[in-house]
Amino acid sequence: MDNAGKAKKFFRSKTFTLAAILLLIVIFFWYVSPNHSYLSIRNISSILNSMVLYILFAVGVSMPILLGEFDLSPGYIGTAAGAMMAKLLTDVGIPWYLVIMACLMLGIAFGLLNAVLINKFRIQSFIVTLAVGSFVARGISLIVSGGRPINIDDPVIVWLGTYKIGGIVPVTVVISLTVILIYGIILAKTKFGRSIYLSGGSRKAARLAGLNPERLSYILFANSGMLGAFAGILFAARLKTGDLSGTNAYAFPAVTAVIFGGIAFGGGKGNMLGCFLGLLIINGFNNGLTIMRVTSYWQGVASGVLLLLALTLDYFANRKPKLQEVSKAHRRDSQGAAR
Amino acid sequence: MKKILALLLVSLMIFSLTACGVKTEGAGKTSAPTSNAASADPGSVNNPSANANAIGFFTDGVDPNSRDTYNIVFAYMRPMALFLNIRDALTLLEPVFNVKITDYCANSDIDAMIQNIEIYADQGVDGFIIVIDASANLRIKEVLDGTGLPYIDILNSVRDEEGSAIVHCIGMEGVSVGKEMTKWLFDNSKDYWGEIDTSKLGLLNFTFSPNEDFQDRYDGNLAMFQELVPGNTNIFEADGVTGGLNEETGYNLASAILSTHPEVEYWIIPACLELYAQGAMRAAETLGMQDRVLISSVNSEVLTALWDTGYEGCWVSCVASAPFQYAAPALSGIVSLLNGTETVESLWSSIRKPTDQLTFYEIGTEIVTKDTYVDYFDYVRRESGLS
Repeated sequence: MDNAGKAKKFFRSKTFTLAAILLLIVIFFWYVSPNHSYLSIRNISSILNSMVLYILFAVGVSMPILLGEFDLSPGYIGTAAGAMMAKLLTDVGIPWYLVIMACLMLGIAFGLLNAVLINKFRIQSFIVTLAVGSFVARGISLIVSGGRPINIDDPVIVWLGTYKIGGIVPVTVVISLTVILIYGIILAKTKFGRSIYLSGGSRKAARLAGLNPERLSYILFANSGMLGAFAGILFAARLKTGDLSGTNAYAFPAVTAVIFGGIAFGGGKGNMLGCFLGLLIINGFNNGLTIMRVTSYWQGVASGVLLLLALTLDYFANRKPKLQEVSKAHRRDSQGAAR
Repeated sequence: MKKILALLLVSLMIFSLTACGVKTEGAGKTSAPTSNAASADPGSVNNPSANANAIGFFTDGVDPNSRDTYNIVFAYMRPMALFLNIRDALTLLEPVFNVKITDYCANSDIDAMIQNIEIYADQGVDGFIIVIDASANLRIKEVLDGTGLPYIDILNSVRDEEGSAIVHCIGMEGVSVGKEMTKWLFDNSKDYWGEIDTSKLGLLNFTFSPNEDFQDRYDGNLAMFQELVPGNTNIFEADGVTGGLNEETGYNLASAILSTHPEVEYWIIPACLELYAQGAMRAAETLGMQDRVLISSVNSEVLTALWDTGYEGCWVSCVASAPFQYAAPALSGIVSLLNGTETVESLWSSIRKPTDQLTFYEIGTEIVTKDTYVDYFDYVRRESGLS
């Protein structure tokens, strides 16, 4: 493909659409914010800080989605992990590193439970993950916490959740950016990543190519559970408390951002850059509205409208080339028949 | 072409949102109230909060129009009727205090609330009136302290391990409210049922155990019931923690308990939360038990709205919480802190309990019925500083 062709392809790509929307939002809010504070280091840090948990959930749930499955349990798993961490640290007195490992194992166990129910019992992933999350994981949160929030005062965990590098950039931001970068590289540059795309695109083709989509499903659900638990750990560390409602409500917006960022609902398509840009647009937009003192009720409506517009934009961007291809093919067929 | 059109639409939407967000200059330029400022004696200037009227309104001698408008954020966790009414009351009081209220609802996301407190502080707001959620109250306090801005808490007290209040909070004292509510139900049950065999009376006692204030109300209900009907064991706990802070949870818990205890003929239900009372009311009606159930609740937003439309069911009373009872003292307090006429230590020091580090400002509690609520709310509104 020549340079012009590459450029044309880029301008039609989802990444370009997202980048253009982001640029427009940034310019607008920079212009209207008091003293152009929208692009101040502190505010950029605030935007990234508001993305921390969503990044972890989005990375986690995007993997099963790439495989053509759906995971709604990580939010609840996060709450259970946060409550368990608070309980083990405060009431049992186990060292922080063992507690973190135990909580991550809890997340992996939930993920594997999802995968078993989906693969062995052939239940739809949407139903399984919702049931495991909203009943089993939520129930465990209640049992572990005894129905009350548990304060966390372990210095390492508190540092992890609240320390700001240079007084500005929270440690959790660095962690979440590192996570999405690593997963982005895994997806784009490794054989394992390519096998996820292939299995998500067509399981039959993947099997014929010698891959094992079922095994992948176990790995990706376990990974999603682990990242959900990790998000719950960071959430609890940020609030210094194991809370009952915790991260319950986080997974669904993360799924929305993932789809917004271009990861195809049916699997096999999308990347972490799009996912990141999607999250950046949504959180950057909400941050701008907060700066403009728009009430939070309108913020919800505005975010929804933005999402719909972006999806419409994407629909038109992708529809045109396909129509052109169809009409070209039709012309070719007509010419062939005439000869 | 379509891409450009869609981008244009995005820009249009953002520009239209700007119009929503534009500050209304001059909104706070009407005259300040004179009701209680005029009655304050000269010696009170050093501690103006000591001269607050019955609902907590006070002025500190500084003409609100002689200074810039203060930007105050009202932040709360979820869109409940009480919070929204307090927001409306605060907005109505904007011209009285020369403040601009920014409304922020975290939609149950504590993490977002913390982020936004920092964002608002960075953007130069002057202070916060905030409903500090019980689930992470110490962290929220820490973040608020980190902003260096004054703040007043509403409803949920923040206390240290010894139970000492460490944040200025305007709210109700849970145990006494619970006792008052249960006593009212018991005393007035004769008007509804006549003389009854109290061994057949039951208490359905709501709580939401993660919240200390709700749990205090529960404890108050329980203590008063045991005092009024000693030896009665028809006591049933309904903890909303299994569901949430919503009407559905109230319905589910109440219908399960009411329908499975035929040995109890009459029920009194003092609800720590209005939404639970609403759910219990629906459960009693669904089970056809409304003639054998009496419900009261803390807060009055839902029930007064029902009364306004002619409701006359088994939810017979509530502890009134006129939004101005929260709004007036909160604004009086924060403005005096911003004016410098009060310090964090001096504010409401005259009514502070010796065991508390900062003041838990107890609002007056009044149990109202459909016959008395209009007069009571009129009185509160008159006393809030609105002319």
